[in-house]
Amino acid sequence: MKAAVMENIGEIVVKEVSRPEVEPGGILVGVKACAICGSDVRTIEHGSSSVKPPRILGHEVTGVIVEVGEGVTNFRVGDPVAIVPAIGCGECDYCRSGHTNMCPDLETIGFEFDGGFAEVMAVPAKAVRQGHINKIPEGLSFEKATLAEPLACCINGQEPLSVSVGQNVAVIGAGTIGLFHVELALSKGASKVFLIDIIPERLTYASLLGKDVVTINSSEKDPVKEVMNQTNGRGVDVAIVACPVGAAQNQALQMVARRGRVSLFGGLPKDKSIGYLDSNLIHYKEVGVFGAHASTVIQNRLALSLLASERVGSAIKYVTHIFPLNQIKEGLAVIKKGESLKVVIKPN
Amino acid sequence: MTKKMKAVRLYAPGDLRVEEIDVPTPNDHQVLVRVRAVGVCGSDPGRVMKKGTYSYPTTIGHEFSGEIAEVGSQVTSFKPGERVTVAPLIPCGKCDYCKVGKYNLCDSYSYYGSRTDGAMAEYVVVEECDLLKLPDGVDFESGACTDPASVALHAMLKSDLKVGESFAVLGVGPIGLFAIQWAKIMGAEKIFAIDILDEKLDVARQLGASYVVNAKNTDPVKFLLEETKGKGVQRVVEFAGSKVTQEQSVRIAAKEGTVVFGGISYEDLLIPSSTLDALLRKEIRIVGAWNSVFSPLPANEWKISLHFMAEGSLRCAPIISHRFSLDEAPEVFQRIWNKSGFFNKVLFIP
Repeated sequence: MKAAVMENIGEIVVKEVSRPEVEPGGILVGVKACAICGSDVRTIEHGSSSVKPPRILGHEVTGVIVEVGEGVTNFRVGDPVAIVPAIGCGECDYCRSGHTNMCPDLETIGFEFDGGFAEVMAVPAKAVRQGHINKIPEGLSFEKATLAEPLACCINGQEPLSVSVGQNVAVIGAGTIGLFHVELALSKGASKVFLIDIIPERLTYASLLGKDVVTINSSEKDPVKEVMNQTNGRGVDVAIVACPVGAAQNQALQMVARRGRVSLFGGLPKDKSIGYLDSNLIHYKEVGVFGAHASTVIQNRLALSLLASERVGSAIKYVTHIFPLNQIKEGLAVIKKGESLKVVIKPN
Repeated sequence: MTKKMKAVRLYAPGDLRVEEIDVPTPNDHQVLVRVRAVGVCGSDPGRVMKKGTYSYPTTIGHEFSGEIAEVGSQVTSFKPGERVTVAPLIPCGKCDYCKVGKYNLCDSYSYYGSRTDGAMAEYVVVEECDLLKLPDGVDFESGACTDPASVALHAMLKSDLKVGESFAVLGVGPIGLFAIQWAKIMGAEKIFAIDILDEKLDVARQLGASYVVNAKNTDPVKFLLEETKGKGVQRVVEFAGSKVTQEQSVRIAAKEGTVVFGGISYEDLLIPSSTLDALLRKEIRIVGAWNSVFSPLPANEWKISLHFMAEGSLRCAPIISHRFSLDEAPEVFQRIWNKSGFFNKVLFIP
């Protein structure tokens, strides 16, 4: 079969490789769509501690089941499915309490296992056993269903923030993740959402999300001052950092109201994560600061349902580019230019 | 000569009169409001025909909006001519609940239309702390619906409804119809509306209910359990105030579901042992909801209601079924009490 293999840092090659074998309890998926995540670009350029080349990347995967392994009874060949890529061990305290994304031995499709930039992808038995395969609801396309993975991560990130009706929310970073956070907050009834970015082009999407979304171009205006001005000096109930920028994390602490909640959704580059937060802001304002990492099967199912009912993901055309597998480099180049939202690879 | 005005006043249960009385004078901290619309609350017919008010005569009416006609000398945040709505509860400001902003739980509150003169009149005197400005785009009739909209929101917040969850409301009078709209705003996946009047269920569907059930013809418990593949509904709000629907609301709740009792009830509720068993085994939480919150934190439900009315996703016009003049009040209350005809939100336009 054809696959895009990361052979070394900076080196991705589309070539013929042997089709994976189905293991007992596992499943093979004929990949219909696999979106490129920002982390894929990072891994190709700088490597990742979880990726040992040669490796097929891609973890935002949808497709059709083409083969089921021995003992698999709850899935059938032909089922349209979305894959939940982050797989816990299923045995530890976190896994058994439903926080599978917090498993210390988390392994992820497209990182520790071969991923979806290939014609066929193997889903390991331990993933099938833990239900990491969600059926795609009727009417949802394979391309759009790839959004379930990043959306589920946003659902997970917002869970401890208790975003509720009538609240003010600020999102720093207007990429796909930031826009998802805005849409999720609106779907919960937030009455005002500030979307902040330094690139004005990215802020133009906000106009598609309704009049409760206020954009702030932070290359022109101080976003903290702007948010304070527009909230009568109180700040926002919730601030979400959806970009990998340390300075933005502290801006979030500055613009959040007393007793507010902050999500450090976007991680910082390795060895560059220390020294940004003014802890006195947390201390004196009684701010709750939360992290976010990956997502669970149940959150992925909710993401699919929100996409299918068009409550999230339909106001904006998120899938801006589609490429066949042998043009994956063009897809990566489009992302580098910063003019895309989601770039989807279609191997079949 | 003192200025006169028309007022609808209760002299005894069942004895409602329209009279010419003096326009009241606000004290230094009060505001005189020219009433432009005043609604009949679900609690009003019982109050007028059976329960009575706390002293007589009392001008009734507590869901209203209007324009400021005059402000007391110490009033700083409002001025004549401004369009306003008014929260009906006057908090004591001294008890432990008032000190933490939970005015709806105040130990010794007063209330327009039952404990002090209300708004079914051309003018009413109100406390500054109860006033909210109407945003542009919210008309007086909608403004008069801020109270039921906020009562619905308060119950919805008690229900803890989260995005993607299923929701059911039993009893879709005006408050239930607002609950449906809040469920939509809060991201409910499936919205079930249950009532015994098709007229109300039609409005429920128009305002966003995905399923409507007339409990006169269809067993709502059976229907909802079938539609949810036996799982039940995650968040349930009861606004009918009947022992039948209260018991049903527990039976339709899913595991770890919430049932909010918001409908005022005058009957004992007997929970059958099988329902009680389900309550335990499914770890269902029953919680009461009373009135609404208009303190700033954690959420001013009145301001949130006005925001979504102005924005257009909380609609009042489909809920309003009748508009009358003050002179018609005694006869209208008689008709509502005798259930002669269909009534949804009834407004008086003074």
